[in-house]
Amino acid sequence: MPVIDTIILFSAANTEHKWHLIGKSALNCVNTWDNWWIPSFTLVEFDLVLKSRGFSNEERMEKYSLLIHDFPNILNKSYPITPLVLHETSRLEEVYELDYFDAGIAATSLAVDGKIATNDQQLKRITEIESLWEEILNQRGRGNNN
Amino acid sequence: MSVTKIDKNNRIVIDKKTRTKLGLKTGDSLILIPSGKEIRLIPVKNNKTFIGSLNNLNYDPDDHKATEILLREGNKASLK
Repeated sequence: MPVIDTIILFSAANTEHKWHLIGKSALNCVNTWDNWWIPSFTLVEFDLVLKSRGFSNEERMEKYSLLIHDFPNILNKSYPITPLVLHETSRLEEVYELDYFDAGIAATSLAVDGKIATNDQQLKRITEIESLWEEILNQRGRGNNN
Repeated sequence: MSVTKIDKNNRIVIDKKTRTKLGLKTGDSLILIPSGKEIRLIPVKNNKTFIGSLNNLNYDPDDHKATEILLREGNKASLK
């Protein structure tokens, strides 16, 4: 079932972002439904972007505290980076000329069932996966911030 | 440091010195994370939420900053 792309975390955390409602909806789905996952690749990309924007360790720790506090089930909903995921990451990088993290997130989705919550055009080019976006708003998920 | 006990209703008390040091107030949340044989207590103060916590950050998926950082750090390490 769906895994979420990094844009979901950033749009959920930014109430002024044009995709905020979709981001929040998708996070609520991960928090609520057994079949929604957050790839470890998504979390690492999120963290590296925060580092690149100059967020201190303390500031980054706060973001994760808030994420865990508001969406506690996410603690058990992270999909690991496995040898199989890395194998598929390398293949997707090669075949579709993808960025490393895009390939990693796509590879994680293939390890589940090939669906990604994303509007990234690079990921939409992958014929092996199905992307979800606007329809996420129709999913019912529960979080602290509905 | 202080010592506290779990009472008959399974509650614990955080002493004033610790509350003052960490700026904890009534109503603040604490995240309890089992860590081996210990428990980590992480305060979430002032009713902050993840939603809205990055209102000044406009993320562009095409920036690929994360990969750049990863490769830059890797190159640094290989030069050492």
